Amino acid sequence: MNIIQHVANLLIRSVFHADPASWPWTWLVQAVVIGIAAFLAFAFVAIFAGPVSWIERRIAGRIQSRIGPNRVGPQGVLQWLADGVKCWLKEDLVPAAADRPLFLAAPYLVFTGMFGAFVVLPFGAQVVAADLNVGILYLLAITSLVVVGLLMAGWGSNSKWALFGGVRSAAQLVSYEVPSAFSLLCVVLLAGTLSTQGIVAAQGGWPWDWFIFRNPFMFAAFFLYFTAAIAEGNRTPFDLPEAESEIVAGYNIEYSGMRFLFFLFAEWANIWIMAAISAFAFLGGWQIPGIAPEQIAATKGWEFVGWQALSWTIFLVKATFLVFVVIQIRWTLPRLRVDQLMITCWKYLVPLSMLMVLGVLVLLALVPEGGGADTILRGAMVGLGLAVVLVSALRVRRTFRVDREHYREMEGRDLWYPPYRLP
Amino acid sequence: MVPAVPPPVRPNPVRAYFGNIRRAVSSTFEGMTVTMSWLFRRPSTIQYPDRTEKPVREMLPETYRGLLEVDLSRCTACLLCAKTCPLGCISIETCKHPDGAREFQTFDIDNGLCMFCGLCAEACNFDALAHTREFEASVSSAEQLTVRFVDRPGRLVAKAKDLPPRRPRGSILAALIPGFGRRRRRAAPPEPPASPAPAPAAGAEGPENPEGTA
Amino acid sequence: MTDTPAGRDPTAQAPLCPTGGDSAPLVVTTRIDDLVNWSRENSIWYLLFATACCGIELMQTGGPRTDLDRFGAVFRSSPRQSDLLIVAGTITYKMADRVRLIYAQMAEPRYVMAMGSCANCGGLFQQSYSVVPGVDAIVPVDIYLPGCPPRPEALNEAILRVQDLMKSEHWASRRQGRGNP
Repeated sequence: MNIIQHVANLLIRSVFHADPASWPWTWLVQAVVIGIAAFLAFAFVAIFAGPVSWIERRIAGRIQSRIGPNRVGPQGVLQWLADGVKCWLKEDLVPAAADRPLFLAAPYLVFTGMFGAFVVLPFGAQVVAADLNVGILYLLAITSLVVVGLLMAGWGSNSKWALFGGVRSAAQLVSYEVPSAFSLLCVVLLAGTLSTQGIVAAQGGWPWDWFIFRNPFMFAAFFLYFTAAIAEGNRTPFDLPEAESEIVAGYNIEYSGMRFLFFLFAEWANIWIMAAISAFAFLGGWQIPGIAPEQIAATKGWEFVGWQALSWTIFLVKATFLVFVVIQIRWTLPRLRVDQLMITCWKYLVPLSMLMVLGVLVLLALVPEGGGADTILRGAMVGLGLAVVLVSALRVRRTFRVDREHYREMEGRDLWYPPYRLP
Repeated sequence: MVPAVPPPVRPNPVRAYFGNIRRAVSSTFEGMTVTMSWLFRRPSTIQYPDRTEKPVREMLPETYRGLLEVDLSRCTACLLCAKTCPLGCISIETCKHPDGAREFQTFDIDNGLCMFCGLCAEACNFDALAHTREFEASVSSAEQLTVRFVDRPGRLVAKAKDLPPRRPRGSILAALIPGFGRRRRRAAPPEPPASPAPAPAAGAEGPENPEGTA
Repeated sequence: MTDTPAGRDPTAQAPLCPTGGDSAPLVVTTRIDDLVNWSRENSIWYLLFATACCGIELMQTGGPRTDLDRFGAVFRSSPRQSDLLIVAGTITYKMADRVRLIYAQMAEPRYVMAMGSCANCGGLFQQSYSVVPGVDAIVPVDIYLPGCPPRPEALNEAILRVQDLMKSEHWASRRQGRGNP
């Protein structure tokens, strides 16, 4: 039973003193609860998208040796509010030559495509709007709706750059669906279910229970999925549809004010969604280390709420961390060319992700779960993950140290200025 | 016969394929570590209007050519500057009194036209016309771009024999332009004492980028 | 707010209004106009429009040393989404049509800044047969910024002037627009 039915039944029992199974208005209460849940998810997107845009600008600033927005409110935290209010109140231009219905509807369609994905995201132990038994398929399908919206925006704007952007994004999204679907197929193979909660339940709280550390092919599949997801989200280095240097602003070139804001909104929501999918499919989702999902379900009252909150927090932390990685990638890598984009997908990601599916299948047959070989494999993969973390940390340290001496010679000051020091 | 240009070496396609993958992974990893290290570096931004250690005009180089300023009490109206100016952005008019003294009618410098080449200031023999280190001169109408230095009628042209000392640069502009120097500076936040802090501990930022190889 | 004690907490925050020294103390804005103007002045998205050497300074101003992003001013490459058209450089008669077109494509409320001598009055090329003597001949200009080219801090100061301008306006009347030239 999912959280929505649970809450609806609770409401019916406690407020209306009726039996939810036989009461004639059960559907109405459920509809209201679903509406409230949708509103909460919407508010979550809005509240997430705003501050993260500010955080990204601050991080981008630091990476580029600048500061980023720090004047609006304390340290610029209200920057997103200023941007939002301004965009909301700006003139809503519709070009005279535009295909009016398409032009007007496109941003909302894009946003709907992104927003629909929230239905199956498992936020916590019992918290999922609808635990569909075709969850992963639904995710792949609903996020593809975005293509229609972007293409509508590109075509409806009646501008050559917008059309280029729309067609590019259609080509890109359709292409990168393939590797991302294959990578998720690895997860489905291991979990034996398409349901998102089932996938989380098939993992565990400790890192060696996560799918990413299950075997080498899953480790690679995670990075393949992450790359494909970044491309699907039109993020740098795959932001060809809105490449300033080539096609001005891409599909959103003719949009101003609120409608443009919806595109931005959808972009931020999409970052969150792809980070969340990576987190629940590969990184164990909301699983609390040491606590089995059945134990959480068995608790009552405030204890139940506490475990729920903890699982929710764990999921949010994992997803937010991946969001930061996406942001850092954006400000690290330059943009690909169109042909390179397609080569990356069809010559590298697609064959490799197929290989990962095969490898996972073979390992499933050869290495029984829970056996000695499985334990060794998981231990080795966790070791590999730790090694990657350690090596990258040492590289960061080395890069920093070399430049620190140069900086001291040139400026006479210390280069050390940690991110928590806000200028 | 040996061809002048050796035929291109075709790389082994399999090696090229996996070499590309290796390069993509290693270069992304390298880039990610570099950007991560920049998060721990001091930004080079000078927080211009108010949060600088000292006003920006004091950070400018000694020879910086900012807005032009003329000290009329030292100006002999020799018109050298106006004649030197390639654009003609300095206009000087004088009239002669019956007793021989000359009076300034206009001494206008069109900041909008000026290209800050410094020829006029070099031509000036009496250090009357000089560049200041001021640059905050945005205005909201085109007329205000012209600075009129004759602030009151009856300003006599100076004689080269007895010149008063040059007034401090910038003070004349400050008196002429309303709201001049409006971007005042707040005290900069004190720099914390430079501690011999070690470089970022290896584990401190460790969990930040396990996806460095993404 | 011109001077604060030197021993102030280093994490002390800027006032709500970001123009720096002579700003009002932190107040909770209640009037709609204040809120709207606050949001507009803190989110000046300027158009990437550089035709000459001033463009180099324009890029420089967005760069690390004079970080315009501190004030929420970022560049947009589409005129539909930008609030401020910074005419950075010489405008020839051939380009004049495009400037007008770009201005016409911008959404209200929109502002124009003439940056540098060439945009102010034609500057060095004033006498040329092909150069527009001042961009105010073709579009209404809100802020003139002298300099050849102005240094990045000067452009930064001009952005603050635009903020001052926005602060003194009624959003509703500005929203009506001034029409296209």
